[in-house]
Amino acid sequence: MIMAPRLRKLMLTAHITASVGWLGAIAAFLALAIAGLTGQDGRQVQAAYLSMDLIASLLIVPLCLATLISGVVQSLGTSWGLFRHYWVLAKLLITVVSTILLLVHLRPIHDLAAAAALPLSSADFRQMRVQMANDAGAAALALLVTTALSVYKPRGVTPYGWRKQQEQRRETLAAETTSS
Amino acid sequence: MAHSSGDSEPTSAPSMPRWVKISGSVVIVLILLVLALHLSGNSPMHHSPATERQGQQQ
Repeated sequence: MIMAPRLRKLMLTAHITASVGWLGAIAAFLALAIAGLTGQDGRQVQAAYLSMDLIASLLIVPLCLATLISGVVQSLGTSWGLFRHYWVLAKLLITVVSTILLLVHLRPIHDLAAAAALPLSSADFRQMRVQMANDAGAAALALLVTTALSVYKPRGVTPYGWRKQQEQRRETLAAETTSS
Repeated sequence: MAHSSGDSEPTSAPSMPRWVKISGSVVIVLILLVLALHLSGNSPMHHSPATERQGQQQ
């Protein structure tokens, strides 16, 4: 079902706001992960991991889900469709995989924040802290890719999209033949 | 000059674009790399503070 122009613009605004907010929240998370990893001051390291836990649960998760839902609504409500163009499909896959990975990593983030409530030395949980910074960097990269896909919209229709285009073409031709 | 609709219509779907093939291959390699890291024990799940504390106590 194609959305009316006003509703489409409202949904587009919601989708852009959620996805830009998600990217911003990931950037803040990455900055804190680097500060936590490289910081020498124990209180600063502690504050970084406690803030990361709050940012993940209060900002990243809601914005990630809002991006996914508004993106699906936006694609289904426009002629782009959800499975018709490779770039839309790629965005959907990246967002779904990122959401799953985020939900899986919530527990380690929370555990690290709980551990940081006690004074942390630079050697404590080093591998996990490095992993957090790597994951945040990968998430930021994935979101930059989805942003670029939205802007450039690279060509290419899926076999399903091609069949739909053919169907629409046939319907248009049949309507023109009937009216003339 | 009039053409019948069937003359110009392609009969099969266009092939997958090059950017999809290249990025798909990159993604598959990355997934395999991440799987290898997880299986070798280099994941946050294997190094949660709880498990690490247990390791330090032993």
